[in-house]
Amino acid sequence: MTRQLTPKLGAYAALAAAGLLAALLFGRPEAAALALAFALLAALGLALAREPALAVTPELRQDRVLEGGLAIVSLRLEGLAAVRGLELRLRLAEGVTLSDSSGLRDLNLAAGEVRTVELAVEARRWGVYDLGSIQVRARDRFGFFLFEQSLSTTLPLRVYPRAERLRALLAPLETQAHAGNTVSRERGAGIEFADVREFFPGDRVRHVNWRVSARRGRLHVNQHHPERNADVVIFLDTFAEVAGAGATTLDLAVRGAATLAGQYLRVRDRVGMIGFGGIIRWLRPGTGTIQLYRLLDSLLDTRVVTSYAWKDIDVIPTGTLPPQALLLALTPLVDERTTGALLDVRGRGFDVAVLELDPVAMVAPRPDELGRLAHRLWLLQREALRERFRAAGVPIASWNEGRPLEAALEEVAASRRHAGRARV
Amino acid sequence: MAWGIALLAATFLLRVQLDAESAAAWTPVAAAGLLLVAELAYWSFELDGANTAGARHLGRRALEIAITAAGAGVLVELVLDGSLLVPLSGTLVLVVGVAAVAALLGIVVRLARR
Repeated sequence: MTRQLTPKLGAYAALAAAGLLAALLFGRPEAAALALAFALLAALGLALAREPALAVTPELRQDRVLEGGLAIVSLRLEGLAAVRGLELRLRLAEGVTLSDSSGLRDLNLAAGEVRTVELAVEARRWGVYDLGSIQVRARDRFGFFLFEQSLSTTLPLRVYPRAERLRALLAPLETQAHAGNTVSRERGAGIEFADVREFFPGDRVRHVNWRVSARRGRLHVNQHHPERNADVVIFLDTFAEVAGAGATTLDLAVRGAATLAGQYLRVRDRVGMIGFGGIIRWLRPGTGTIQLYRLLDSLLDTRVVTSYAWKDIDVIPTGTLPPQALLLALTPLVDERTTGALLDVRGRGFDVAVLELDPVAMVAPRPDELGRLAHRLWLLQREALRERFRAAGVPIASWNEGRPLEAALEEVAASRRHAGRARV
Repeated sequence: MAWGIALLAATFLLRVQLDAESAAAWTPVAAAGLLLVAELAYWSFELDGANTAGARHLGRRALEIAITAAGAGVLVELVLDGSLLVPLSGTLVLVVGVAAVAALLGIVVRLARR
Protein backbone atom coordinates (compact mmCIF):
# COMPACT_ATOMS: atom_id res chain seq x y z
CA MET A 1 0.00 0.00 0.00
CA THR A 2 1.28 3.45 -0.84
CA ARG A 3 1.04 6.20 1.77
CA GLN A 4 0.29 9.80 0.96
CA LEU A 5 0.04 12.84 3.19
CA THR A 6 -3.20 14.73 2.92
CA PRO A 7 -3.21 18.56 2.72
CA LYS A 8 -4.80 18.55 6.15
CA LEU A 9 -1.54 17.68 7.93
CA GLY A 10 0.33 20.49 6.20
CA ALA A 11 -2.43 22.96 7.03
CA TYR A 12 -2.52 21.98 10.71
CA ALA A 13 1.27 22.19 11.03
CA ALA A 14 1.31 25.58 9.30
CA LEU A 15 -1.46 26.92 11.54
CA ALA A 16 0.38 25.71 14.63
CA ALA A 17 3.65 27.29 13.46
CA ALA A 18 1.90 30.57 12.66
CA GLY A 19 0.26 30.60 16.13
CA LEU A 20 3.53 29.99 17.93
CA LEU A 21 5.28 32.60 15.83
CA ALA A 22 2.56 35.10 16.67
CA ALA A 23 2.91 34.23 20.36
CA LEU A 24 6.64 34.93 20.21
CA LEU A 25 6.29 38.12 18.23
CA PHE A 26 3.46 39.69 20.22
CA GLY A 27 4.14 38.05 23.56
CA ARG A 28 0.59 36.70 23.87
CA PRO A 29 0.12 33.20 25.33
CA GLU A 30 -3.38 33.07 23.74
CA ALA A 31 -1.79 32.70 20.30
CA ALA A 32 0.30 29.77 21.53
CA ALA A 33 -2.83 28.27 23.10
CA LEU A 34 -4.68 28.43 19.78
CA ALA A 35 -1.68 26.83 18.06
CA LEU A 36 -1.59 24.09 20.66
CA ALA A 37 -4.88 22.52 19.52
CA PHE A 38 -3.67 22.09 15.93
CA ALA A 39 -0.13 21.07 16.92
CA LEU A 40 -1.39 18.43 19.33
CA LEU A 41 -3.78 16.91 16.81
CA ALA A 42 -1.06 16.82 14.12
CA ALA A 43 1.36 15.19 16.57
CA LEU A 44 -1.27 12.60 17.57
CA GLY A 45 -2.01 11.87 13.93
CA LEU A 46 1.66 11.30 13.13
CA ALA A 47 2.16 9.11 16.17
CA LEU A 48 -0.95 6.96 15.79
CA ALA A 49 -1.02 6.47 12.00
CA ARG A 50 -1.00 2.78 11.13
CA GLU A 51 -1.08 1.27 7.69
CA PRO A 52 -4.35 -0.61 7.17
CA ALA A 53 -4.00 -4.27 6.28
CA LEU A 54 -6.73 -5.68 4.13
CA ALA A 55 -7.35 -8.69 1.91
CA VAL A 56 -9.77 -8.23 -0.97
CA THR A 57 -11.06 -11.22 -2.94
CA PRO A 58 -13.26 -10.33 -5.91
CA GLU A 59 -15.63 -12.80 -7.50
CA LEU A 60 -18.13 -12.58 -10.34
CA ARG A 61 -21.45 -14.29 -9.64
CA GLN A 62 -22.10 -14.84 -13.35
CA ASP A 63 -19.68 -14.35 -16.20
CA ARG A 64 -22.32 -14.04 -18.96
CA VAL A 65 -25.05 -11.45 -19.11
CA LEU A 66 -27.27 -9.90 -21.72
CA GLU A 67 -26.78 -6.32 -22.83
CA GLY A 68 -28.54 -4.07 -20.31
CA GLY A 69 -28.40 -6.76 -17.63
CA LEU A 70 -26.69 -6.73 -14.25
CA ALA A 71 -23.71 -8.77 -13.17
CA ILE A 72 -23.04 -9.07 -9.46
CA VAL A 73 -19.47 -8.59 -8.29
CA SER A 74 -18.86 -9.93 -4.84
CA LEU A 75 -15.94 -8.45 -2.87
CA ARG A 76 -14.83 -10.36 0.19
CA LEU A 77 -13.05 -7.97 2.53
CA GLU A 78 -10.99 -9.27 5.40
CA GLY A 79 -9.55 -6.77 7.81
CA LEU A 80 -6.12 -8.06 8.84
CA ALA A 81 -5.87 -4.93 11.00
CA ALA A 82 -8.49 -2.30 11.77
CA VAL A 83 -9.41 -0.23 8.71
CA ARG A 84 -11.25 3.08 8.85
CA GLY A 85 -12.96 5.05 6.12
CA LEU A 86 -12.34 2.36 3.54
CA GLU A 87 -13.22 3.29 0.01
CA LEU A 88 -13.28 0.81 -2.86
CA ARG A 89 -13.27 1.94 -6.46
CA LEU A 90 -13.80 -0.43 -9.35
CA ARG A 91 -11.99 0.78 -12.45
CA LEU A 92 -14.37 -0.61 -15.02
CA ALA A 93 -13.89 -0.86 -18.72
CA GLU A 94 -15.93 1.36 -21.00
CA GLY A 95 -19.25 -0.32 -21.62
CA VAL A 96 -19.85 -1.50 -18.07
CA THR A 97 -20.78 0.78 -15.19
CA LEU A 98 -21.60 0.46 -11.54
CA SER A 99 -25.34 0.69 -11.09
CA ASP A 100 -25.06 1.56 -7.40
CA SER A 101 -21.94 2.63 -5.54
CA SER A 102 -23.43 2.87 -2.07
CA GLY A 103 -21.42 -0.05 -0.79
CA LEU A 104 -18.10 1.48 -1.80
CA ARG A 105 -17.66 4.34 0.62
CA ASP A 106 -17.05 4.76 4.32
CA LEU A 107 -16.55 1.16 5.29
CA ASN A 108 -15.04 0.40 8.65
CA LEU A 109 -13.54 -2.99 9.39
CA ALA A 110 -12.33 -4.28 12.73
CA ALA A 111 -9.24 -6.49 12.88
CA GLY A 112 -10.19 -10.00 11.80
CA GLU A 113 -13.62 -8.94 10.57
CA VAL A 114 -14.80 -10.42 7.28
CA ARG A 115 -17.41 -8.64 5.22
CA THR A 116 -18.80 -9.26 1.77
CA VAL A 117 -19.83 -6.31 -0.38
CA GLU A 118 -21.92 -6.95 -3.46
CA LEU A 119 -21.86 -4.51 -6.33
CA ALA A 120 -24.15 -4.56 -9.30
CA VAL A 121 -22.36 -3.88 -12.57
CA GLU A 122 -24.56 -2.84 -15.45
CA ALA A 123 -23.52 -4.09 -18.87
CA ARG A 124 -24.38 -1.26 -21.24
CA ARG A 125 -22.83 -2.54 -24.43
CA TRP A 126 -22.14 -5.97 -25.86
CA GLY A 127 -18.56 -7.22 -25.78
CA VAL A 128 -16.01 -9.03 -23.70
CA TYR A 129 -14.81 -7.08 -20.71
CA ASP A 130 -12.24 -7.52 -18.04
CA LEU A 131 -13.54 -5.88 -14.93
CA GLY A 132 -10.22 -4.17 -14.49
CA SER A 133 -8.69 -3.22 -11.19
CA ILE A 134 -9.93 -2.43 -7.73
CA GLN A 135 -8.52 0.64 -6.06
CA VAL A 136 -8.54 0.43 -2.29
CA ARG A 137 -8.26 3.69 -0.35
CA ALA A 138 -8.26 4.18 3.39
CA ARG A 139 -7.52 7.07 5.73
CA ASP A 140 -6.00 7.11 9.16
CA ARG A 141 -8.06 8.09 12.19
CA PHE A 142 -7.31 11.81 11.89
CA GLY A 143 -7.37 12.04 8.12
CA PHE A 144 -3.70 13.02 7.80
CA PHE A 145 -2.69 10.04 5.67
CA LEU A 146 -4.22 8.42 2.64
CA PHE A 147 -3.34 4.78 1.97
CA GLU A 148 -3.88 3.46 -1.52
CA GLN A 149 -3.53 0.11 -3.20
CA SER A 150 -4.50 -1.05 -6.67
CA LEU A 151 -5.47 -4.69 -7.06
CA SER A 152 -5.61 -6.03 -10.58
CA THR A 153 -8.26 -8.62 -11.24
CA THR A 154 -8.93 -11.05 -14.03
CA LEU A 155 -12.68 -11.29 -14.07
CA PRO A 156 -13.84 -11.68 -17.65
CA LEU A 157 -17.43 -10.75 -18.33
CA ARG A 158 -19.13 -11.63 -21.60
CA VAL A 159 -22.00 -9.35 -22.51
CA TYR A 160 -24.20 -10.81 -25.20
CA PRO A 161 -26.11 -8.47 -27.50
CA ARG A 162 -29.72 -7.74 -26.73
CA ALA A 163 -32.14 -9.62 -28.99
CA GLU A 164 -34.68 -7.75 -31.08
CA ARG A 165 -38.31 -8.85 -31.17
CA LEU A 166 -38.86 -11.02 -34.19
CA ARG A 167 -41.87 -13.18 -34.94
CA ALA A 168 -41.40 -13.88 -38.64
CA LEU A 169 -38.20 -14.63 -40.49
CA LEU A 170 -37.22 -14.05 -44.07
CA ALA A 171 -37.75 -17.42 -45.75
CA PRO A 172 -34.85 -18.52 -47.97
CA LEU A 173 -35.75 -19.08 -51.61
CA GLU A 174 -33.99 -22.43 -51.70
CA THR A 175 -33.86 -25.16 -49.10
CA GLN A 176 -31.47 -27.97 -48.32
CA ALA A 177 -32.00 -31.72 -48.19
CA HIS A 178 -32.55 -32.12 -44.46
CA ALA A 179 -35.86 -31.86 -42.66
CA GLY A 180 -36.68 -28.52 -41.15
CA ASN A 181 -39.40 -25.94 -40.72
CA THR A 182 -39.13 -24.09 -44.03
CA VAL A 183 -41.68 -24.99 -46.68
CA SER A 184 -39.61 -25.94 -49.72
CA ARG A 185 -40.35 -24.87 -53.26
CA GLU A 186 -39.68 -28.47 -54.26
CA ARG A 187 -42.36 -31.12 -54.36
CA GLY A 188 -42.31 -34.20 -52.21
CA ALA A 189 -43.62 -35.60 -48.97
CA GLY A 190 -45.03 -32.83 -46.86
CA ILE A 191 -48.15 -31.17 -45.53
CA GLU A 192 -48.42 -28.00 -47.60
CA PHE A 193 -50.47 -28.58 -50.76
CA ALA A 194 -48.56 -27.81 -53.97
CA ASP A 195 -50.30 -29.14 -57.09
CA VAL A 196 -52.27 -31.96 -58.73
CA ARG A 197 -50.77 -34.20 -61.37
CA GLU A 198 -51.63 -37.42 -63.15
CA PHE A 199 -51.16 -40.70 -61.33
CA PHE A 200 -48.03 -42.67 -62.14
CA PRO A 201 -47.34 -46.25 -61.10
CA GLY A 202 -45.67 -46.17 -57.73
CA ASP A 203 -47.70 -43.25 -56.36
CA ARG A 204 -49.36 -43.94 -53.05
CA VAL A 205 -53.11 -44.46 -53.07
CA ARG A 206 -53.57 -42.10 -50.13
CA HIS A 207 -52.37 -39.23 -52.31
CA VAL A 208 -55.07 -39.79 -54.95
CA ASN A 209 -57.32 -36.75 -55.32
CA TRP A 210 -60.66 -38.49 -55.88
CA ARG A 211 -62.62 -35.37 -56.85
CA VAL A 212 -60.23 -34.33 -59.59
CA SER A 213 -59.89 -37.97 -60.73
CA ALA A 214 -63.71 -38.31 -61.02
CA ARG A 215 -63.98 -35.03 -62.94
CA ARG A 216 -61.14 -35.82 -65.36
CA GLY A 217 -61.89 -39.51 -65.71
CA ARG A 218 -58.27 -40.41 -64.92
CA LEU A 219 -56.46 -40.87 -61.65
CA HIS A 220 -54.78 -37.74 -60.25
CA VAL A 221 -52.69 -37.36 -57.15
CA ASN A 222 -51.96 -34.41 -54.86
CA GLN A 223 -48.45 -33.06 -54.61
CA HIS A 224 -47.03 -31.37 -51.52
CA HIS A 225 -44.20 -29.08 -50.53
CA PRO A 226 -41.81 -30.79 -48.13
CA GLU A 227 -40.55 -28.99 -44.99
CA ARG A 228 -36.83 -28.69 -45.22
CA ASN A 229 -34.11 -26.79 -43.50
CA ALA A 230 -32.16 -23.97 -45.10
CA ASP A 231 -28.68 -22.56 -44.97
CA VAL A 232 -28.48 -18.96 -43.87
CA VAL A 233 -25.22 -17.05 -43.89
CA ILE A 234 -25.19 -13.76 -42.03
CA PHE A 235 -22.88 -11.28 -43.70
CA LEU A 236 -21.53 -8.61 -41.38
CA ASP A 237 -19.91 -5.56 -42.92
CA THR A 238 -17.03 -4.56 -40.65
CA PHE A 239 -15.15 -2.27 -42.98
CA ALA A 240 -16.59 0.86 -41.41
CA GLU A 241 -19.17 1.99 -38.92
CA VAL A 242 -21.11 5.18 -38.45
CA ALA A 243 -21.53 6.43 -34.91
CA GLY A 244 -24.41 8.57 -33.75
CA ALA A 245 -25.31 9.97 -30.36
CA GLY A 246 -26.42 6.55 -29.14
CA ALA A 247 -25.58 3.30 -30.85
CA THR A 248 -23.33 2.78 -33.84
CA THR A 249 -24.16 0.88 -37.00
CA LEU A 250 -21.89 -1.90 -35.72
CA ASP A 251 -24.05 -2.19 -32.59
CA LEU A 252 -27.11 -2.53 -34.79
CA ALA A 253 -25.34 -5.09 -36.95
CA VAL A 254 -24.29 -7.21 -33.99
CA ARG A 255 -27.75 -7.07 -32.40
CA GLY A 256 -29.41 -7.90 -35.68
CA ALA A 257 -27.01 -10.76 -36.39
CA ALA A 258 -27.49 -12.24 -32.91
CA THR A 259 -31.27 -12.03 -33.23
CA LEU A 260 -31.36 -13.55 -36.71
CA ALA A 261 -28.91 -16.32 -35.78
CA GLY A 262 -30.97 -17.27 -32.74
CA GLN A 263 -34.25 -17.28 -34.64
CA TYR A 264 -32.98 -19.24 -37.66
CA LEU A 265 -31.33 -21.81 -35.41
CA ARG A 266 -34.57 -22.15 -33.48
CA VAL A 267 -36.31 -23.33 -36.66
CA ARG A 268 -33.52 -25.86 -37.29
CA ASP A 269 -31.81 -24.01 -40.13
CA ARG A 270 -28.05 -24.08 -40.46
CA VAL A 271 -26.55 -20.68 -39.76
CA GLY A 272 -23.08 -19.42 -40.62
CA MET A 273 -21.44 -16.04 -40.50
CA ILE A 274 -19.01 -13.97 -42.53
CA GLY A 275 -17.35 -10.91 -41.03
CA PHE A 276 -16.28 -8.96 -44.07
CA GLY A 277 -13.94 -6.13 -43.25
CA GLY A 278 -10.34 -5.26 -42.45
CA ILE A 279 -10.11 -8.74 -40.95
CA ILE A 280 -12.11 -11.46 -42.69
CA ARG A 281 -13.74 -13.80 -40.22
CA TRP A 282 -16.05 -16.69 -40.95
CA LEU A 283 -17.95 -19.49 -39.34
CA ARG A 284 -19.23 -22.38 -41.43
CA PRO A 285 -22.97 -23.06 -41.23
CA GLY A 286 -24.06 -25.33 -38.44
CA THR A 287 -27.04 -25.95 -36.28
CA GLY A 288 -27.91 -26.33 -32.62
CA THR A 289 -27.16 -24.53 -29.39
CA ILE A 290 -23.42 -25.01 -29.70
CA GLN A 291 -23.48 -23.22 -33.05
CA LEU A 292 -25.52 -20.40 -31.49
CA TYR A 293 -22.85 -19.84 -28.83
CA ARG A 294 -20.11 -20.09 -31.45
CA LEU A 295 -21.85 -17.38 -33.42
CA LEU A 296 -22.46 -15.20 -30.37
CA ASP A 297 -18.88 -15.53 -29.17
CA SER A 298 -17.69 -14.68 -32.64
CA LEU A 299 -19.96 -11.63 -32.68
CA LEU A 300 -18.53 -10.42 -29.38
CA ASP A 301 -15.11 -10.21 -30.98
CA THR A 302 -16.40 -8.20 -33.92
CA ARG A 303 -14.44 -5.00 -34.45
CA VAL A 304 -14.08 -2.49 -37.21
CA VAL A 305 -10.50 -2.73 -38.43
CA THR A 306 -9.39 -0.10 -40.90
CA SER A 307 -7.95 -1.51 -44.08
CA TYR A 308 -7.22 -0.02 -47.48
CA ALA A 309 -6.63 -3.36 -49.19
CA TRP A 310 -9.14 -4.23 -51.88
CA LYS A 311 -11.04 -7.36 -50.93
CA ASP A 312 -13.67 -9.24 -52.82
CA ILE A 313 -15.74 -12.34 -52.21
CA ASP A 314 -12.93 -14.64 -53.40
CA VAL A 315 -11.16 -14.24 -50.05
CA ILE A 316 -13.97 -16.15 -48.34
CA PRO A 317 -13.13 -19.86 -48.01
CA THR A 318 -15.11 -22.43 -49.94
CA GLY A 319 -17.73 -24.07 -47.81
CA THR A 320 -18.51 -20.95 -45.84
CA LEU A 321 -21.11 -20.03 -48.42
CA PRO A 322 -22.85 -23.29 -49.38
CA PRO A 323 -24.90 -23.56 -52.58
CA GLN A 324 -28.51 -22.40 -52.27
CA ALA A 325 -27.75 -20.52 -49.07
CA LEU A 326 -29.48 -17.29 -48.19
CA LEU A 327 -26.93 -14.53 -47.66
CA LEU A 328 -28.40 -11.97 -45.32
CA ALA A 329 -26.18 -8.91 -45.28
CA LEU A 330 -26.12 -6.31 -42.50
CA THR A 331 -24.27 -3.29 -43.77
CA PRO A 332 -24.31 0.50 -43.51
CA LEU A 333 -23.38 0.62 -47.22
CA VAL A 334 -20.56 3.08 -46.76
CA ASP A 335 -17.78 0.99 -48.26
CA GLU A 336 -17.57 0.19 -51.96
CA ARG A 337 -15.85 -3.13 -51.25
CA THR A 338 -18.93 -4.49 -49.48
CA THR A 339 -21.22 -3.36 -52.27
CA GLY A 340 -18.97 -5.02 -54.84
CA ALA A 341 -18.76 -8.26 -52.87
CA LEU A 342 -22.53 -8.51 -52.37
CA LEU A 343 -23.28 -7.86 -56.03
CA ASP A 344 -20.62 -10.40 -56.94
CA VAL A 345 -22.28 -13.04 -54.73
CA ARG A 346 -25.63 -12.20 -56.29
CA GLY A 347 -24.06 -12.52 -59.73
CA ARG A 348 -23.01 -16.06 -58.82
CA GLY A 349 -26.65 -16.97 -58.30
CA PHE A 350 -26.88 -16.82 -54.54
CA ASP A 351 -30.00 -15.65 -52.78
CA VAL A 352 -28.96 -12.30 -51.27
CA ALA A 353 -30.96 -9.90 -49.10
CA VAL A 354 -29.59 -6.67 -47.65
CA LEU A 355 -30.55 -5.02 -44.40
CA GLU A 356 -29.14 -1.52 -44.68
CA LEU A 357 -28.08 -0.21 -41.27
CA ASP A 358 -29.31 3.28 -41.89
CA PRO A 359 -26.58 5.81 -41.04
CA VAL A 360 -28.58 8.82 -42.24
CA ALA A 361 -30.13 9.55 -38.83
CA MET A 362 -26.65 9.42 -37.26
CA VAL A 363 -25.12 12.00 -39.58
CA ALA A 364 -26.26 15.61 -39.22
CA PRO A 365 -25.62 17.90 -42.21
CA ARG A 366 -23.36 20.88 -41.70
CA PRO A 367 -25.51 23.96 -41.06
CA ASP A 368 -24.20 25.99 -44.01
CA GLU A 369 -25.50 25.85 -47.57
CA LEU A 370 -22.56 23.77 -48.82
CA GLY A 371 -23.03 21.25 -46.03
CA ARG A 372 -26.73 20.86 -46.81
CA LEU A 373 -25.93 20.40 -50.50
CA ALA A 374 -23.29 17.76 -49.72
CA HIS A 375 -25.78 15.95 -47.48
CA ARG A 376 -28.40 15.92 -50.23
CA LEU A 377 -25.86 14.58 -52.71
CA TRP A 378 -24.90 11.85 -50.25
CA LEU A 379 -28.55 10.88 -49.81
CA LEU A 380 -28.97 10.71 -53.59
CA GLN A 381 -25.86 8.56 -53.88
CA ARG A 382 -27.27 6.19 -51.31
CA GLU A 383 -30.56 5.99 -53.16
CA ALA A 384 -28.68 5.22 -56.38
CA LEU A 385 -26.79 2.47 -54.55
CA ARG A 386 -30.06 0.95 -53.37
CA GLU A 387 -31.31 1.02 -56.94
CA ARG A 388 -28.20 -0.89 -58.03
CA PHE A 389 -29.10 -3.65 -55.60
CA ARG A 390 -32.75 -3.70 -56.64
CA ALA A 391 -31.75 -3.86 -60.31
CA ALA A 392 -29.58 -6.87 -59.49
CA GLY A 393 -32.55 -8.58 -57.84
CA VAL A 394 -31.34 -8.01 -54.31
CA PRO A 395 -34.12 -6.90 -51.96
CA ILE A 396 -32.96 -4.14 -49.65
CA ALA A 397 -34.57 -2.50 -46.63
CA SER A 398 -33.37 0.10 -44.16
CA TRP A 399 -33.16 -0.63 -40.49
CA ASN A 400 -32.36 1.85 -37.75
CA GLU A 401 -32.81 2.13 -34.02
CA GLY A 402 -36.25 3.64 -34.32
CA ARG A 403 -37.55 0.87 -36.56
CA PRO A 404 -38.21 -2.75 -35.55
CA LEU A 405 -36.10 -5.39 -37.27
CA GLU A 406 -39.29 -7.23 -38.04
CA ALA A 407 -40.53 -4.32 -40.17
CA ALA A 408 -37.32 -4.26 -42.17
CA LEU A 409 -37.47 -8.01 -42.77
CA GLU A 410 -41.10 -7.74 -43.81
CA GLU A 411 -40.12 -5.04 -46.30
CA VAL A 412 -37.49 -7.38 -47.76
CA ALA A 413 -40.03 -10.22 -47.97
CA ALA A 414 -42.63 -7.94 -49.60
CA SER A 415 -40.04 -6.75 -52.11
CA ARG A 416 -39.34 -10.40 -53.01
CA ARG A 417 -43.04 -11.19 -53.40
CA HIS A 418 -43.60 -8.29 -55.77
CA ALA A 419 -40.42 -8.51 -57.78
CA GLY A 420 -40.11 -12.26 -58.00
CA ARG A 421 -36.66 -13.61 -58.53
CA ALA A 422 -34.61 -11.58 -60.93
CA ARG A 423 -32.36 -13.42 -63.32
CA VAL A 424 -28.87 -12.02 -63.55
CA MET B 1 -9.04 26.22 4.07
CA ALA B 2 -5.92 26.96 6.10
CA TRP B 3 -6.05 30.65 5.11
CA GLY B 4 -9.64 30.92 6.30
CA ILE B 5 -8.81 29.42 9.68
CA ALA B 6 -5.71 31.63 9.97
CA LEU B 7 -7.80 34.73 9.27
CA LEU B 8 -10.35 33.71 11.90
CA ALA B 9 -7.54 33.15 14.41
CA ALA B 10 -5.94 36.48 13.50
CA THR B 11 -9.26 38.27 14.06
CA PHE B 12 -9.56 36.74 17.50
CA LEU B 13 -5.95 37.58 18.39
CA LEU B 14 -6.45 41.15 17.25
CA ARG B 15 -9.44 41.35 19.54
CA VAL B 16 -7.31 39.96 22.39
CA GLN B 17 -4.62 42.53 21.63
CA LEU B 18 -7.14 45.37 21.75
CA ASP B 19 -9.20 44.17 24.69
CA ALA B 20 -7.10 41.62 26.56
CA GLU B 21 -9.22 41.62 29.75
CA SER B 22 -12.47 40.30 28.35
CA ALA B 23 -11.40 38.57 25.14
CA ALA B 24 -8.62 36.41 26.61
CA ALA B 25 -11.15 34.48 28.67
CA TRP B 26 -12.71 33.19 25.44
CA THR B 27 -9.44 31.65 24.21
CA PRO B 28 -10.41 27.99 24.98
CA VAL B 29 -13.75 28.48 23.23
CA ALA B 30 -12.00 30.08 20.25
CA ALA B 31 -9.48 27.22 20.08
CA ALA B 32 -12.26 24.61 20.22
CA GLY B 33 -14.29 26.52 17.65
CA LEU B 34 -11.40 26.88 15.20
CA LEU B 35 -10.57 23.20 15.50
CA LEU B 36 -14.23 22.29 15.03
CA VAL B 37 -14.47 24.43 11.90
CA ALA B 38 -11.26 22.94 10.48
CA GLU B 39 -12.29 19.36 11.20
CA LEU B 40 -15.75 19.83 9.72
CA ALA B 41 -14.31 21.49 6.63
CA TYR B 42 -11.85 18.67 5.98
CA TRP B 43 -14.56 16.12 6.64
CA SER B 44 -16.66 17.78 3.97
CA PHE B 45 -13.73 17.39 1.55
CA GLU B 46 -13.50 13.70 2.41
CA LEU B 47 -17.21 13.27 1.78
CA ASP B 48 -17.09 15.12 -1.50
CA GLY B 49 -18.63 12.89 -4.16
CA ALA B 50 -19.91 10.28 -1.73
CA ASN B 51 -23.56 9.81 -2.52
CA THR B 52 -24.26 7.85 0.60
CA ALA B 53 -22.58 7.45 3.91
CA GLY B 54 -24.33 5.45 6.57
CA ALA B 55 -26.21 7.54 9.14
CA ARG B 56 -24.56 5.54 11.91
CA HIS B 57 -21.12 6.28 10.54
CA LEU B 58 -21.89 9.98 10.09
CA GLY B 59 -23.18 10.27 13.66
CA ARG B 60 -20.14 8.52 15.05
CA ARG B 61 -17.75 10.71 13.12
CA ALA B 62 -19.63 13.88 14.15
CA LEU B 63 -19.41 12.78 17.79
CA GLU B 64 -15.66 12.16 17.45
CA ILE B 65 -15.12 15.62 16.02
CA ALA B 66 -17.21 17.24 18.74
CA ILE B 67 -15.25 15.38 21.44
CA THR B 68 -11.92 16.33 19.84
CA ALA B 69 -12.90 20.01 19.74
CA ALA B 70 -14.20 19.95 23.30
CA GLY B 71 -11.03 18.17 24.48
CA ALA B 72 -8.89 20.79 22.74
CA GLY B 73 -10.84 23.54 24.47
CA VAL B 74 -10.36 21.93 27.89
CA LEU B 75 -6.66 21.40 27.20
CA VAL B 76 -6.18 25.03 26.19
CA GLU B 77 -8.02 26.14 29.32
CA LEU B 78 -5.73 23.98 31.48
CA VAL B 79 -2.60 25.22 29.73
CA LEU B 80 -3.64 28.85 30.06
CA ASP B 81 -4.53 28.39 33.71
CA GLY B 82 -1.18 26.73 34.32
CA SER B 83 0.71 29.46 32.53
CA LEU B 84 -1.08 32.10 34.58
CA LEU B 85 -0.35 30.32 37.85
CA VAL B 86 3.28 29.84 37.00
CA PRO B 87 4.26 32.89 34.98
CA LEU B 88 6.56 31.76 32.26
CA SER B 89 9.09 34.20 30.94
CA GLY B 90 12.74 34.56 30.31
CA THR B 91 15.34 33.25 27.89
CA LEU B 92 14.49 29.58 28.43
CA VAL B 93 10.84 30.07 27.39
CA LEU B 94 11.98 32.12 24.41
CA VAL B 95 14.43 29.41 23.33
CA VAL B 96 11.80 26.68 23.73
CA GLY B 97 9.28 28.75 21.76
CA VAL B 98 11.73 29.46 18.96
CA ALA B 99 12.69 25.77 18.81
CA ALA B 100 9.03 24.73 18.62
CA VAL B 101 8.34 27.22 15.84
CA ALA B 102 11.43 26.11 13.96
CA ALA B 103 10.48 22.48 14.31
CA LEU B 104 6.96 23.10 13.07
CA LEU B 105 8.16 25.24 10.19
CA GLY B 106 10.62 22.49 9.33
CA ILE B 107 7.74 20.00 9.18
CA VAL B 108 5.75 22.37 6.98
CA VAL B 109 8.68 22.90 4.61
CA ARG B 110 9.34 19.17 4.44
CA LEU B 111 5.68 18.45 3.74
CA ALA B 112 5.59 21.12 1.09
CA ARG B 113 8.62 19.60 -0.67
CA ARG B 114 7.13 16.09 -0.87
